Amino acid sequence: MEDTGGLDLIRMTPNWPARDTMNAAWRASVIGYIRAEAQPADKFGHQPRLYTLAAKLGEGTPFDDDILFAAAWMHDLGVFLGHRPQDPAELARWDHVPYTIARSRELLPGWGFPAEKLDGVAEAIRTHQPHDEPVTIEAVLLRDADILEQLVPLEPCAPW
Amino acid sequence: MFDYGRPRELHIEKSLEATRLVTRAGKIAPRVLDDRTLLIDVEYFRVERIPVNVSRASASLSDKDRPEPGLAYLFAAAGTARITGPDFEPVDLPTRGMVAVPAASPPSRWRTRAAWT
Repeated sequence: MEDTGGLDLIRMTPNWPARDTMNAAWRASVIGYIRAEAQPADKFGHQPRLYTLAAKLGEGTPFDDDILFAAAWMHDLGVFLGHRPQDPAELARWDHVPYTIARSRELLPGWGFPAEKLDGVAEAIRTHQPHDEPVTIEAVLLRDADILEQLVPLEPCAPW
Repeated sequence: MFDYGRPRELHIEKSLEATRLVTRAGKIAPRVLDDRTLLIDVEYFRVERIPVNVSRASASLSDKDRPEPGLAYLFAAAGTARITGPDFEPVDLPTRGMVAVPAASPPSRWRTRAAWT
């Protein structure tokens, strides 16, 4: 095509879901923290898959996406190196859940997470394991998605 | 359903159950706006045709429904462009060339060949 001086540009852009700035900021902080703390390195990857899967399971239900996101990303904090005990005997007795809840309550508000939703996050983390009996909708989604994650651990998901 | 002659069971009924019989496939008419033409704007992506006479600032095309800048690809369907900005070296975009504009890019100005030669 001859260049006559005019210009026709075609612009292509992905349509990301609209997010408000504050919301995006605390979520980015959660992701950044877990990305750094998830040690050994293979501990990272489960969290984004888990959140994506749990949200998918919850489609059509009135779950709170902030609670689900925070709980899914934080729920295993207490199993990471640097967070769990190093001593084998202590580790054998270690219950990572209370530790994870306590640290989540400390960390999330500092990143701008809505304080009124902290109880929801704590409750979802409290009952996220297969033997638990979750009560809230976010907790049910988290537990069920976590079980599915263990069945299909390498399911692909959107990049983070 | 066809399995290249292999003796595996074909799940035809289940396949039909999972088949979406009505889709949104088909031609979509472009939407002409004041400053550009929206060729398509769907759930996952948007494609616009942006005419540039002499020079145009990227900021003039910001979208109210997109407060956060995002990744964009610019394709020169006709003409050649020079992309300039205060914080980077000029980037030339040849006819039918394409550039990726990262979300973190500073505002830029797109100029036609006539505007910089």
